[in-house]
Amino acid sequence: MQRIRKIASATVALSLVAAACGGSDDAADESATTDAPAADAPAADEPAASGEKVTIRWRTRPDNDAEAEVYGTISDSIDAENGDAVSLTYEPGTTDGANYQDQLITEIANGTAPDVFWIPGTDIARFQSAGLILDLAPIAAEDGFDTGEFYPEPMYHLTFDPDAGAPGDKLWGLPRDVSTFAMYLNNDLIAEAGADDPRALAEAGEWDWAAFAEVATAVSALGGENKGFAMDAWWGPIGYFIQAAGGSFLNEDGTECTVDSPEAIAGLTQMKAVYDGGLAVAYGESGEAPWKAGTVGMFMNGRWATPGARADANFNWDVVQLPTGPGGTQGNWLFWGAYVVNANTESPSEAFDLVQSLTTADTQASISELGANFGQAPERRCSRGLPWLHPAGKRASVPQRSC
Amino acid sequence: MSDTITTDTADSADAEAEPRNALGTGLGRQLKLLSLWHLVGAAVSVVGILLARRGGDIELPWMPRYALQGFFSFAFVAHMASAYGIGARARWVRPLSLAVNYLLTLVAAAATLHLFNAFRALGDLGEGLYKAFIPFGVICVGLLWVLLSGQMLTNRPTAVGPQRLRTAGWSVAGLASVWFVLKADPSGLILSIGDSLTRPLALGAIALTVGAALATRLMWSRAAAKHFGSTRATDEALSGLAFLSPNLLGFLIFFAFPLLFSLWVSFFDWDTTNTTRDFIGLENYIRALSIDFAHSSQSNSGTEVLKGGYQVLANLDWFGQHWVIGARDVEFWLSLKNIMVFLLLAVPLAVLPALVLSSVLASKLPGMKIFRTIYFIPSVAGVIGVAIVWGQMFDATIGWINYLLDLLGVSEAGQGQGWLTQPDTALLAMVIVFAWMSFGFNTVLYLAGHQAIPKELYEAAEIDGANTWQIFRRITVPQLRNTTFYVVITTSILALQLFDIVWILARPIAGGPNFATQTPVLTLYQEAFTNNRQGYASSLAWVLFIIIFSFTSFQFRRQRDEATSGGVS
Repeated sequence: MQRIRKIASATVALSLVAAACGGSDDAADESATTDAPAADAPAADEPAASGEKVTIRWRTRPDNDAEAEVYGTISDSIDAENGDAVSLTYEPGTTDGANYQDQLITEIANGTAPDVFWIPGTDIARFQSAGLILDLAPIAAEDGFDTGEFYPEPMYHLTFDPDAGAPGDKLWGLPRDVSTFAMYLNNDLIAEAGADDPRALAEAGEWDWAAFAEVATAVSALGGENKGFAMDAWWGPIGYFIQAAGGSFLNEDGTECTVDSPEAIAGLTQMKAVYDGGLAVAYGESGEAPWKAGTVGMFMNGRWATPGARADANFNWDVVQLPTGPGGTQGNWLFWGAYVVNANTESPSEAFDLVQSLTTADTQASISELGANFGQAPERRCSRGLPWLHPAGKRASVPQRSC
Repeated sequence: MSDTITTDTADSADAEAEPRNALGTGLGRQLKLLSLWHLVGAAVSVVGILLARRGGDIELPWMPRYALQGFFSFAFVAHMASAYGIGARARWVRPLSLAVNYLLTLVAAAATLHLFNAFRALGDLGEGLYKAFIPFGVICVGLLWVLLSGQMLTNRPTAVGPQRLRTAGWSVAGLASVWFVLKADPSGLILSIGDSLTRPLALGAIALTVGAALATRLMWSRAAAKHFGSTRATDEALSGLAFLSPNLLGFLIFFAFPLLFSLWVSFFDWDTTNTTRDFIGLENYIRALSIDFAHSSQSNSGTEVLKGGYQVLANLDWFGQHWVIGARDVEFWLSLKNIMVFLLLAVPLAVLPALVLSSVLASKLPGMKIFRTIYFIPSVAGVIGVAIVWGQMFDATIGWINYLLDLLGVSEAGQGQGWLTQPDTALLAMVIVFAWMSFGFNTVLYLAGHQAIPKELYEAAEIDGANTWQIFRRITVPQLRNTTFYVVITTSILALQLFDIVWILARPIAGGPNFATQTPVLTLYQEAFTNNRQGYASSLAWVLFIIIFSFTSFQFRRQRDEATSGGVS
């Protein structure tokens, strides 16, 4: 009994002295590795041993299974080209129910997010200010990487230095694609209504809000379920009306909300007039389903509506640019998304290599040819003359710039 | 003090029952080793505390730092007490040492599995099975033949056919196993295990698991029980706890801890991305619940009459007086208002039809079993699927509901009601879907309640000349009082937690038109995962908890009062 007490006291004293005096990290590490695996195990796992194969996980937000398969194929082919040192794992993000970006942020906070992921251009600032994405400028400089090959509009945001309040020596990612809104037309319905062809009006430079209202009124006058116009209720279509009238959501610095400016109110008034006049599918309801059902004359949407139209629309359809508003512009958006690198990645260099591989003209062409991003302008300029922009003769988006 | 008394008593009692030289026997040696094991454990715990405390470049974030320090301090005390207790032959040491070693075995086993990538290997195993699905099927066929031949041979042991079938079965299964291994290609798994075996950490984890398991076994043994004078009651309690432990540990780790942790988080300004974490006391609760009343000289006044930071929640005109109600978190207050309206509409709609329907289904009419199944189907259908289907039904332009109204001439084609997109009907649409999904299950609960009503009551009522309505009103409803209580409580709790239906069904965004379908759980989700304010979201969760708890306890109290005053008659 006494002996055990003595042993106990001696052990405690010794261990305290050893730990306090030793104090060096070597001694401590040794103890941790030999004696206390139970508690330290999770933290001590996954040693980044030199020579070990690096696995890079990456993710996009495919619209459907077919698109997920396309990216899986691309991942495998880049993986095969890379040799054995780096292995790629593609994880399609969810598109139903769960919000893609919310899930990503939670995973980054938990340390389980992929190394490389695609996010919409509108989320770059949010992810950057929360410190979730890596500044790739130092790695790009080492590689001598030229960002000048990309369209300048997305690069303005992707090289933005928040401290300087202007583009600078930063690189938050590389853009995957750009696209804009277009007006999808049901040519049969417009002809049946006896309205002018919006494509001809656009050619003649007469495609403005008055012409748009005339076409919409004529189609709606067909009666029944027919409506002249449809759009989905989110900031994109609403923003078009504001911008085409010469307004904007924010002032130039992005420091003040300007939806109450006279121009913005004029745009919103026009939008409201379209709904109040019974010319459009009810606000908030999905525009795509009735458009595909053939009861809508004009449907404002992005390139992402093209696969559905090609698959389901049993009528003669085409696209035309958005009508010019009183502000003298189309007020169109430039939609883009970028591949970015997780701020906590263990392999930043390999991750940037993947970002580069994913944005080469060849990869983007392959993605388009494999069937994803229908009618979308690949980001890199002067690649292959953009032949895939016109699948089956349908221009799905109007690129702001091309070669 | 009481420990000393217990120990002394145990000592003297054992001294009589067992010769004092027990420590010289095999058990004695093993107990000495166990005592040493605990001392080593105590020493390692001290090292653990110091490692968790160290700063510099490898400083741990504060939460794991404190958690690990707490864990190791607790382990240190438990180990020291165990080591002392074994020497002192204290009666309390057996449960303590058992608990310490049992938990250590579990943690070490989990760590071992983790270090051997076993959890990831489970995924590989699934992939292997997928790749080698055909050979796997062939193995199953082979084993099926063996099984069949076995059945036949029990009846006719000397029959040649079944014997051949058995041989063929084994051969096919054997060959297919080789094919399976080749196809599934477990070389990666084997290499990975081999690789792990060369790492000292993995070997240490195995040693720790084995050691802790042996220590548990020793303390569990009858000999140890006798040595420490365990009573029958202690033994039974230990057995009970051992059987309970998988569930209890799961409950503590995955339910109780996160629950209490969210309470802790609610006192912080805590960003999901960990960029902010400041203790702000009750500020989150104050922000959520702050409300301001202001008198105004004109109707429809704005924020100018409210305190700073408040937004307009509602404008009221009472007897010519204009009042403005403001809140700091308007969305949360709107969601509270919405959920109360939802509760008032959805619960009666989910309960009353169930009560009536169950009375019909409980009758002995032919075909009732089929109808019982039909009415139960919505309850087992997935919420997401149901919401998507209802979304299609409610669609203003291509939906079935408006189409049927058109056919009936109630509305005009192309002018149909936007059920989900108009603020006045959006919440009603949610009520319909919720009631449709809930009432089938409630019906089944009521049907079960019907079985318990004594048939004599109905017979007596019929003899007394009661009509159907009187029987339903005076016998069925009062007799189902307990079922009604349960159904109302569970349906109300489900209603107050409304999220999934709204998340899928609401248009154009989850909150619906002009926040018409904003619910508290939706607000909580958006705060936590869209606005990344985990602290504030946690405080909303606790406010919601208090509301649900108050509602339920109020119902309980009412039920009890009714029961004591003789109930409804």
